[in-house]
Amino acid sequence: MIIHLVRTGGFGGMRREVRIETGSLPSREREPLERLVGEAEFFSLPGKFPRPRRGADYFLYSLTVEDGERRHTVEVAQPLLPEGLRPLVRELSKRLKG
Amino acid sequence: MEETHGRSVAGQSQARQGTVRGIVPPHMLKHLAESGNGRSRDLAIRMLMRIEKIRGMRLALGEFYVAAPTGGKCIRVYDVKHGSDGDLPGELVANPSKSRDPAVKEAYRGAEATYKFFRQLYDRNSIDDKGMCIDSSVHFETDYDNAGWDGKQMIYGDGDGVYFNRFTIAIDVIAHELAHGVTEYEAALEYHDQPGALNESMSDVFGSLVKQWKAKETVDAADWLIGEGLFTKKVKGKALRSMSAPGTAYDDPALGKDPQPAHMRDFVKTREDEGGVHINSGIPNHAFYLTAMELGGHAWERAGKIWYITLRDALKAKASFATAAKRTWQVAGVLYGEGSEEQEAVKKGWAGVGVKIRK
Repeated sequence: MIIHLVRTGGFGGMRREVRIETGSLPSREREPLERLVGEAEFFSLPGKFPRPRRGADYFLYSLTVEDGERRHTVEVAQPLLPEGLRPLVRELSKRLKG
Repeated sequence: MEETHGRSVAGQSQARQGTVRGIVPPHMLKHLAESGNGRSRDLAIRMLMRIEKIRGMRLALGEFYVAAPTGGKCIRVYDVKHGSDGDLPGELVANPSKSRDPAVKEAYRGAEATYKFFRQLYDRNSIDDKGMCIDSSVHFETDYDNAGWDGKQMIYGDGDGVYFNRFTIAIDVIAHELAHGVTEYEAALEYHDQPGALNESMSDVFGSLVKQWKAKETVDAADWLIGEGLFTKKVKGKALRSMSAPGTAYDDPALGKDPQPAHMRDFVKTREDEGGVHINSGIPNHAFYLTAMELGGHAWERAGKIWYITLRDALKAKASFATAAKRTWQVAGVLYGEGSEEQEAVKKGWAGVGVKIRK
């Protein structure tokens, strides 16, 4: 499985991303990540969430997951993150690189 | 046009129906605009602008309503204790101005300074100009590298400690967030593409002005940086943005380089960041800087006033850079006279970033 998170926006407007091939990870790291993708029901989420009606400086996430034949991208702003997706985004955010 | 409390002033109903012309003769309005005080001066400016048919001027309800005094400022700080959006605002902190938690104290004092700035300089009573409570939550999520305005309140993360310090550390960040609230209640600039970059720029302008005003700095003494102190020592950079030299604030191996343009020829076309709202804001930021430098002295006195009145009375939600340029120029003409030094400075400021004012 390939997981790719790009975070833009925020006060700083900085682009940061992380790309993980779960197959290259030891199983103690791979399994929790793949489980979070499953728990988020990622492949059933809409591809594009609406823009928040109010507010500013929120983070913007573009998250892509490839799993075998399946590939899906979800674009969503921080305030509108579905609850089920939050743990995965939180976990990936710890691994963001420049 | 005497100020009354909690009641409408003469002309309110007609004004709302857009039949202002003729109630007060323009020459009298001009006199009031130039020599009146406080509210009467602002009202005269608003009516003049309507008479001059500045297209795009907001016809907000309550424009001519003088709200009853709310009995002073209301500033509250909450601790969301590392919770997220669903946990806001969190637990109310007692005596935040004396808190031992630096995030609480800074959030309070920054909001208070920004409240005083708008109240004392531009006669604005809080975010909505009706005295609404200014609410902030600190300790949002964990290692959170951000601050924001969520439409109701301000939110501050603690930073990851590796690249970012806590986001309350810089007063211009706090004023930036609070100004997003002001913009939402006034021009309500849409948060994408050029209107979004203008929205961002307004927040940087008032963010920097609050910092300059607190430090009593003239335009030459000011650093014109946004978010100085946010980066840890590890990062190669002074701040998140520079209004005097957009694109030069940081250049770091891990975080990359400040992507801001300072001129229209370098406008960045991108889908990311809602169309580069934090990137292309460098252009209007620099236009403000050039205008303020041209005028000299304290930036909040003339350049800031022109930008504030434009935000309040002359911009619509979909405004482009070209529209903002024209409106600031028109407002400068109304405030200080056609062909005035101030109006020329505005024109020069926008010309310096490649935006021509079309009459």
